[in-house]
Amino acid sequence: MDPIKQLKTHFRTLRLSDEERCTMREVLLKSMRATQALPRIPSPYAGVFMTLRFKRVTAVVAILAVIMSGTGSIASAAEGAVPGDTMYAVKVHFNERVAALAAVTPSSRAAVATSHAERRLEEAEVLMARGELNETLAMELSVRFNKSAEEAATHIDDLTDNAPEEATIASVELETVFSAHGRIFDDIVMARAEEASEIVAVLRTDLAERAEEVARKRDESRLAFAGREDGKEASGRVLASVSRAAEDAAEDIAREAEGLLPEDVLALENRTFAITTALDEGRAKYELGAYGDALAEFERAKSYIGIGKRLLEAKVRFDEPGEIPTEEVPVEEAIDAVVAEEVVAPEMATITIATEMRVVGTNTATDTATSTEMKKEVTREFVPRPIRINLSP
Amino acid sequence: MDSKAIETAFLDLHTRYADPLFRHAYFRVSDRDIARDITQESFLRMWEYLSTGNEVDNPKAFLFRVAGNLVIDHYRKKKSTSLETLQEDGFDPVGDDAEGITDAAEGTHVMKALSGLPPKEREVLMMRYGEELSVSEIAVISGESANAISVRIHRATKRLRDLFDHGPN
Repeated sequence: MDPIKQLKTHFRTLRLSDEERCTMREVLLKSMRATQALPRIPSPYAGVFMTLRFKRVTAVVAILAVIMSGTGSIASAAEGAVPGDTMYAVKVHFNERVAALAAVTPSSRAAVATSHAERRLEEAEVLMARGELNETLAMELSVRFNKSAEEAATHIDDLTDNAPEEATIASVELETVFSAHGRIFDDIVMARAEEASEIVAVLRTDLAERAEEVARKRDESRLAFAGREDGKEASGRVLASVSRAAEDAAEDIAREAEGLLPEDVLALENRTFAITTALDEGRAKYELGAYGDALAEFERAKSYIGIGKRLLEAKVRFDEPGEIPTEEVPVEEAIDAVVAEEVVAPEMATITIATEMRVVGTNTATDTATSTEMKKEVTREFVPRPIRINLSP
Repeated sequence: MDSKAIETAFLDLHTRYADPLFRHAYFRVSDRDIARDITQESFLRMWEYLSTGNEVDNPKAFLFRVAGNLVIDHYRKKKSTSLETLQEDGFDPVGDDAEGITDAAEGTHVMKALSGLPPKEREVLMMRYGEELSVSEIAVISGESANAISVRIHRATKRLRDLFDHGPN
């Protein structure tokens, strides 16, 4: 088991016993009732929203400024900005604040925060693909990403008790964002070994941790959902929502499949099959009255749809022309194989192989080595690998 | 807000933060009773602070800061077992009511690996994974930048994995 997972598990076992907790609450209640004054109790989420009031005032002022000065075009131009661009401040401090202000329900707030977290990941991908992601920019993105991801998780928490089906949809969406961009990150890093610095790893770790956290929340919201009397109606609403999304996805896939390589088309077909299977299994469980299990299948289908949509978008954005270098074989294995089979006399054997000298699966290093020397220093040429987004389910 | 609603709101804070706060204290004082007292005292002090008309922007950070000060007070009064000793000996996390602990041996192994980290890295992993604090909250509590905390968590995670897999050498 991964030590970090073990650490978390072990830490979680350290907690107050029920008796200790009750005793402590009694002491607190006694003390509270002895106090005449009625203080203002901060929200548990106050840490996240400590500047909310300020933000709202700023956003209102900003909206007025747009109306009065006609700077809407500036806001629009800023949408494509990435950290380091002059317009980036407008994008995050103005455009996104306005979007946050416009969101009034918990589900729309969760959607806005999820979208902001995703924008940070997309910006990181653009910078990585360009080879421009330095430590400062990555750190800025990491902090902003974590803030939005936390906000989204908080709003989903708010939804869990009152609207579990909305919480489910929102948490699957958030998890899908993390999973899809985790894969896109990996595909870009594969092609940009020189950018696979520690700082990219920090972002990747953030992403993996958030994905794990939101998966836990999703399980919680499903449990809350399973205990409800209106489980049938609520899971029916999720089914309707996922079915609509599946139909849209099928249309998108059919449209995008034109012009793709055969292996990509096959990957899309596999994804469509996975979506349909999950939906069918969900419907069957729904018919049997197993609403919690049905919901799990609908979540799976929704996740396949969401990840596929994002991978396709990333493919359009990042895929580069060029040949992918041929298969990669670790040096020792290749040399052993050649010598063992005595294909040629050992002193004559010259083989060209891809090695794992750099980060596995990133740039492909082509070595020419002789089996008698068994070393990799004869020639070494790095062949840049084009970015290819993998569409497989 | 009436008094009933205020009680509920405050107890909600207790529900959310009692366990992480308890862990925070326990990792530092290595004594269950003292950690429990520190947890309770932190909430009582927050209540007192609020009752005197003050406002708290970030209750989690406030509670952790108070608990941190109480831990320091505790050490001023009395020397106690170090975290390293605790980790070497292993600890009984929940006493008699432990449930679902199937990996006690692995837990001890990972705690030993944790004790091999430099103090600052160990601290930041305990805050992140033990006390469930976000990077920005750790930054507020420790008075460092979020960037520095992010990098430290990453390095500590890497070092912990190495220690866990290959031991101190």
